[in-house]
Amino acid sequence: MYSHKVSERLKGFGITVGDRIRVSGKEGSLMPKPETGDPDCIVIKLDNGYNVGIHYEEGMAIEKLEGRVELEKLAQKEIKFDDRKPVVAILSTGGTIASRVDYRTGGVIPAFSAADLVSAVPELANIANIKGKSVMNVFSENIRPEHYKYMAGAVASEIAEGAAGVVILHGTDTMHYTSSMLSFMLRDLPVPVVILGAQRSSDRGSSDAAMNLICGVNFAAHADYSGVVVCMHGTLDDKFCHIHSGTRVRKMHTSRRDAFKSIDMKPIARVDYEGGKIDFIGEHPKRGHLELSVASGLESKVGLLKVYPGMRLEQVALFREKGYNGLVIEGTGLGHMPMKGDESSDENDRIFNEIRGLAESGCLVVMTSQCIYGNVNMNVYGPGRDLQKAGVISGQGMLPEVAYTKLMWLLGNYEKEKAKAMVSQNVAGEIVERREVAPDFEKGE
Amino acid sequence: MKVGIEIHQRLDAGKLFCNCPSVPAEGDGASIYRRQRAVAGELGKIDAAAAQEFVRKRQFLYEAPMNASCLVESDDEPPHDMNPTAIDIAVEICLLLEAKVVDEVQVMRKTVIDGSNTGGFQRTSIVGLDGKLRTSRGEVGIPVICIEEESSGILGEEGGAAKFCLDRLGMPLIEIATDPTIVDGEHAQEVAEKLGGILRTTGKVQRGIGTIRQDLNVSTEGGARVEIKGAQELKLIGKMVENEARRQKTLMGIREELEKRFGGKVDFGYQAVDLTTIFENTGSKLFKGAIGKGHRIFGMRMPKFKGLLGTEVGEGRRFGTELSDYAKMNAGVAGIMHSDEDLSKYGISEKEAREAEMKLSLE
Repeated sequence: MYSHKVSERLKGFGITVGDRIRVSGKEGSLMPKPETGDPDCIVIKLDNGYNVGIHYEEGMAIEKLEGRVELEKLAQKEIKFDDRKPVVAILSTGGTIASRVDYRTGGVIPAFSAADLVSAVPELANIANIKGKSVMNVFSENIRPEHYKYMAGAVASEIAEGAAGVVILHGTDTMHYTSSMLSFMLRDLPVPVVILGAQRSSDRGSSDAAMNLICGVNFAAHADYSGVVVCMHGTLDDKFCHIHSGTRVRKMHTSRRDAFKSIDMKPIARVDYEGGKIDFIGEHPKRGHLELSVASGLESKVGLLKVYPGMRLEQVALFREKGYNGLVIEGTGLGHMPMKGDESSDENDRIFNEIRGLAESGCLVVMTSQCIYGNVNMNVYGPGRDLQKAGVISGQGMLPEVAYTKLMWLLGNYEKEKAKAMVSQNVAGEIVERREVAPDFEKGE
Repeated sequence: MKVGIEIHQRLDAGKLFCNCPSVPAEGDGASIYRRQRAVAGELGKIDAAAAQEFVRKRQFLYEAPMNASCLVESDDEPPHDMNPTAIDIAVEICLLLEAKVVDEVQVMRKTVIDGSNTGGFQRTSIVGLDGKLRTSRGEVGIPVICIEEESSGILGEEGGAAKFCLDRLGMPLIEIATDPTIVDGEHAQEVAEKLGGILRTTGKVQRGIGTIRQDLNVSTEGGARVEIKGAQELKLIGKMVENEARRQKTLMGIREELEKRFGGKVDFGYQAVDLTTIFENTGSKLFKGAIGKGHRIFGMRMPKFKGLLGTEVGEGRRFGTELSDYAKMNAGVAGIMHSDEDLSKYGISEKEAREAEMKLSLE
C-alpha cells in the first residue's frame, strides 16, 4: 500500500494503478505497492518492462498521461460436452491453484468457471467433462467450521447431480484438516473426492498446480475408488502425484512441492502425469452404489494443545473455564505431558490436576503425539497410565489434526458417551492398525 | 549503423536470493525432472515466445549439487531477501558510471521458459539509471543498470530433456546496457573494453571464462535490429559487429532483387504440398528415417527465387540456411532443402527430384 500522503496526491491527479504517468522525468504505468518496501516510493513499470521505485517528495510533479494498461482477459475456450467422458465437478475454495495474479492490483483472480479452468489447463478437457463452481473464497488458514459444511454440502449436491468424482481446489496450509473433516462428514461416499492445491504459485511456469490438477481430475474421473483423498506431487519431479488417505496425510514441509506425506502408511495410489496411469499401492475401497449422507454437525468448542517443557497452568486452565467439550493434546513421545513437579516448582502437578478436572467435567480429552509418526501407547510408562486414570483417552496414533477434526465431528453428531466410545474406533481410516517396518519412513512409497 | 552493447558481469558475492555460495558444482547432488507451462506474464498476456516453448513440450532435468544449490534454486522455497553485498557492489558500479541510483530497488520477473530458470522467470531489478561512459568518439549513454540472477548452465540433452546444472543459477549479475550510440565495430570494441576495465577496478567481480558476457544490438539503415547474444571474446566484438552489418546489407540486397523480380511486393502464395508419397521407397536415409517416424515431407514452389538461396550472407552461411533456421524455430520443421542445392548429397535420386518438381510444377 502507498502511504496516505502518496495515495492522496495520486488521487488528486485522478491517477489509479494501471495509469500511465510521468514522475521525476520517468514515464511508465503505475504499479501497485507491494506490502514490503517504503510506502512513500512510487513504483512504475517503464516501457522496457522494468519496475523502478521513485521516492515521493512533497510537491513533486506527477503527470497523468494517455495510455492506461488494462489486464487482458484470458482467451476462453469453448467447452463441448462429450458424452463418452465422465463428469468431474471442480469446486474452488480460494486456494491460489488455477488462479492468476493481477499485477495491477496485486490481487489473485481465482479461475473457477469451467471455462477458466479449461483455458488455463486445456488437458482437463481430454480427461473429463469439467463442471466448475466456486464454493467460497478463503485462504485455508482462515477456514472455520461453517466452511466445512459448505464444502460437504457442495460435494453432496454434485454427486447427487451425477458427478463421477469431485475435485476440491484448496489452499495447502490446512488441506489435511479439511481432508480428514470431509472424510468424517461424508458418510457412505460412492465416488472419489480429491482435494488438491499448489505449493508454488500458479503465476510461475514451474508451478505444481497444473500437474496436481491433471492427476487429481484423472483420479476423480477414472479411479475405482471411493473416499476422500489428497492428490499432490509425489516427489520434486513433475512425474507423478501421490493419492493420500484423507485421514492419514499431513503437510510436512513449508514449501516443497512434495510436502504432503502419508503418515505411517503408504499412499493409496500413484497417478502418472504423462499417460495418466493410475497404480493402486494397496487394498482400497471401490466405487459403490451407496447412498451418500452428510453428517454435518460440528462442535466448535474443541481445542488442540501442544504441550512443552516449561508450560504454564493458565494455558490449560482456559479449556475448563470456557466450557470446552473436547480437547486434543499433542503430547510428547508415546503420549505424555508435563504432570509432575519437584522442589523447584509444582506447576506441573497443577497442570495434571487441571487436566483431570477438565476430564471429570465431561470434556473429552484425547492424547496424540507431536512425534507425528508412530503410535500412542499410554500403557508403557507410569505417567501414561496415570493420565488414563485421570480420564485422558488414547488417540490410538491418530494424527493430532485428525483427532481434532474427529472430535469436532463426533461431538457434533453423537451423544457424549457414544462419541467417547468412537474416539478409539476407526471411522474413516484414521487409525492405523499395524505399522510396517519401513526402512525410510519419511520416503512415502 | 547503430550499435548497443549489453554487458552481463558476475559479481563476486554469494547468490542473490539465497545463502548459497557462488561456486561451481562439486560432489553429490540430486537430479530433478521438471516441465514448464506458459503462464500469463505481469500484464496478463501469455508471452508468445513462452507459449511457443510450451507447445514444443520441452522437458528439463536439473542437477542440484549440494554444495552450490538449495531449495530456492530448485524452486521449492521462496526467495530470501536480496543479498546486500551484491547490491553494494552494484551501487558502486552505478556511481563509477555516473548513474543515478534508484530510490527503491524493485524486483520483477522476466519470463524465461527455455528451462534455464527453474521458476520459469529470471528475477531482475534496476539499480541505476542514466549513466554514461566517455569514449574517444563521444559520450555513450547507459540508460539502465540492473542487478539480476544468473541462469543455470546447460549440460546437454538426456533422454529428450534439456539438462541443466543449478550451481550457476542465482549467482548475482550486473547488467549494463548502453544506448545505441556506438557507431561501428571499432567503437563497440572500445566501449566493451572500457566497461570491462571499470568493472574490474572494483575488485568485486568474478574473473575467468564465462563470468562476463556481452550481447550486441546491431541495426543498419533499412535493416532490422538484431541481437547477437553471448559474445564472450572481447577481441572479437568489433568483428562480430561488422559481420552482422554485412549480413543485414546482403539480406536487404536480396529483398531488393526479389522486389525487382516480382515487380513489387513479394508474394507467391506460400502453398505447401505434401510430397511424402514420392519418397515412400526412397534411398535417402534422412527421408526414410523421417517417414518411418511418421513425419511428412512437404514442398513449396518459390518462383523467381532461383539462384538467390545460395547467396552467402555471412561466413559459411547462405540465405537458404537463414530460411531453414526460421522454419525450424517457428514451425518445428526439421529442415529445408532447396533446388539450388545439389540434392544428391541428401541421397535424393534424380527421378524423385523430377517427380517433386512436377508435383510442384516448377519451371
